[in-house]
Amino acid sequence: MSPIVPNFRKASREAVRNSQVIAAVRKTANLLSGMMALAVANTPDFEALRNYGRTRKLEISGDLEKYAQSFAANAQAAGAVVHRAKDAAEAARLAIKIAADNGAKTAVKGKSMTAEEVELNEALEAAGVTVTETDLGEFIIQLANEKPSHIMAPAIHRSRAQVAELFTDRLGTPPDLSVEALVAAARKELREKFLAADMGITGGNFAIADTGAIVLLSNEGNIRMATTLPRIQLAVVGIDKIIPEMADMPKFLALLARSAAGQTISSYLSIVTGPRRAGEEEGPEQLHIILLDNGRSRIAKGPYREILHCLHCGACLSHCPVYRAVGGHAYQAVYPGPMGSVLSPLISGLEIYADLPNACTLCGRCAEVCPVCVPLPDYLRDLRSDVNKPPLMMKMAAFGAHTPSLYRLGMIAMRQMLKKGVKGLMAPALKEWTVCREPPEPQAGESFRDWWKTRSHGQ
Amino acid sequence: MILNQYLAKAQGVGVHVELLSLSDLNRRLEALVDELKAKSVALPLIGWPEPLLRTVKTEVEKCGSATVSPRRRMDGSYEWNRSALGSANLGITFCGAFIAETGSLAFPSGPGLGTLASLLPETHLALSCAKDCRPDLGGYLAEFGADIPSRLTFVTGPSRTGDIEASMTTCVHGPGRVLHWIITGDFS
Repeated sequence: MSPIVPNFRKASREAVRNSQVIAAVRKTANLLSGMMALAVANTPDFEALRNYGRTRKLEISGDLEKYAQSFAANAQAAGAVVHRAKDAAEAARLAIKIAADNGAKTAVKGKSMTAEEVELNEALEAAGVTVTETDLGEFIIQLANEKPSHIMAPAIHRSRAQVAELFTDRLGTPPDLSVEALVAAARKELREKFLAADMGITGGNFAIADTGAIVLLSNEGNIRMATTLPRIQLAVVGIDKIIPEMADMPKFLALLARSAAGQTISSYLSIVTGPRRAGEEEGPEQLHIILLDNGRSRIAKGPYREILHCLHCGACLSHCPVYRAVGGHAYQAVYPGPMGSVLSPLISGLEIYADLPNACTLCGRCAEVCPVCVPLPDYLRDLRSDVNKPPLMMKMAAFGAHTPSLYRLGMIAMRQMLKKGVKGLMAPALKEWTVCREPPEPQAGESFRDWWKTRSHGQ
Repeated sequence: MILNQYLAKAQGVGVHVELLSLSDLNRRLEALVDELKAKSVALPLIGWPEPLLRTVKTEVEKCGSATVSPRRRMDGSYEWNRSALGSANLGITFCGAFIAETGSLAFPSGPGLGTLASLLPETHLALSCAKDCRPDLGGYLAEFGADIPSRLTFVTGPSRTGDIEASMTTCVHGPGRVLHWIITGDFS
């Protein structure tokens, strides 16, 4: 995995000070959440759709392997080559082999978080395949040699001026271009890559078990290009993206498009079923689908199963006060924000991302906006207990708080200690707590309990 | 009824949609080709109602534009001339189904149908018959049954991005301008 050891506390401390990044993150997050609210308000049966989504996803995650096998069989019947990868390393090896077997030297790629999870670009580049990101946001961060900071809007942290500077530096465009001119420059640059590429690489928003189709959404049109122009197509799809029937798709699409960007549908919706057929002038000669497990079957059997229901819409990110305060990079994980704080530790290990379940105020906003009702705050709280088996002192405190006589003694002791000042006896024990808080002022006079007792007797 | 729903939805997503009669088509096409100074027009020739294709083809050629179409090979399969397709300024396609619920144009793939004409040029004109409006995506998908094409694409407005400062900009990879002319009256 990543060579740096993730440390959310340290990274977020630095991130909150980067006012330019935080301003850019807030601007986009506000816009996305505003558009979602409007789209949801214009959909009277949205709650019914959410319930449908959750119920259907429970059926799927309860029998993931059945749907994966059904999808694989139907996709093969449609002429695709389906590969199963148990982990990221196997997926990368398969992708390298597919490229090598077909003499593919250049690839155009659509935005795919699953490919990020597999570190597909790094693997293919190391094997001599030049991969060009074609989603504008991904193209920008590829030029800047950065990682995405939002699963839907990967370059959310960069300003127009910074993008203009980057394009001048890397593509030789005139300085200080407008957004329109930057987009036109990217169109020209990438059009040539699309027409010349040997291989098109995408993820998949949905995989339909009963037809073997991959469903892909895009607003820019790059996914359509990548699934139509190159002679080899590779789709890397997590097994959690499988839905049972084509008839389910419009409903999940309605949930995803509204939650991701406040749309009823994206500009382009591509339903890809197998490679080019006899007589057709378009489409790849071969379609390869890598079905990635990478811990998903294990997660489906555990207490955090519903995280696999996630549609990767990004709504929980845009609405999260922590994400909005620190941006995506501070999480140092492929999946940031609330869904990422659950999914990243579950995929990569709690010991690597032990901090992330704490990157949450438990405000509950993410669960409110989640289109498939994933109980994210509950999961984050439970993951905290998984990380921190309570220390002895806390166990004693819990015992004390459960026993009225001990609680009373404890409170008396506490008042005494507060009067003597926390700098003395209690300071070392409270160090963690007082890093960012003031200790309470000692209370003058009698305690609440004593006051209550005299008051109730007097009545 | 559903046509009105489609009109509202399509305008909302940035499609320039108009209802016109077959007799108006010549005049409107001439004006469009003229306005775009379209030297080359991508025009797939399969799947059209005959009178509509005849009008379009005649008018485009009359304007002096070259047309690029998927070419039929000896073995009956089709192929695009990619570099010619890449330099077309305008793509004109027949759209046999459009969806009221989402304001989308549907383009199934198939020999000679040339769906790339709706993607590569900067302007895309789709022509439909008023009767081809469908209420929703689910109903349209069900029409295919188990026989779904290799690529089924829905186009809903122009190619767009919000990736730079969330400022909505069109014409990223696909057309920046999508026109949809719905021909009224019975002619096929």
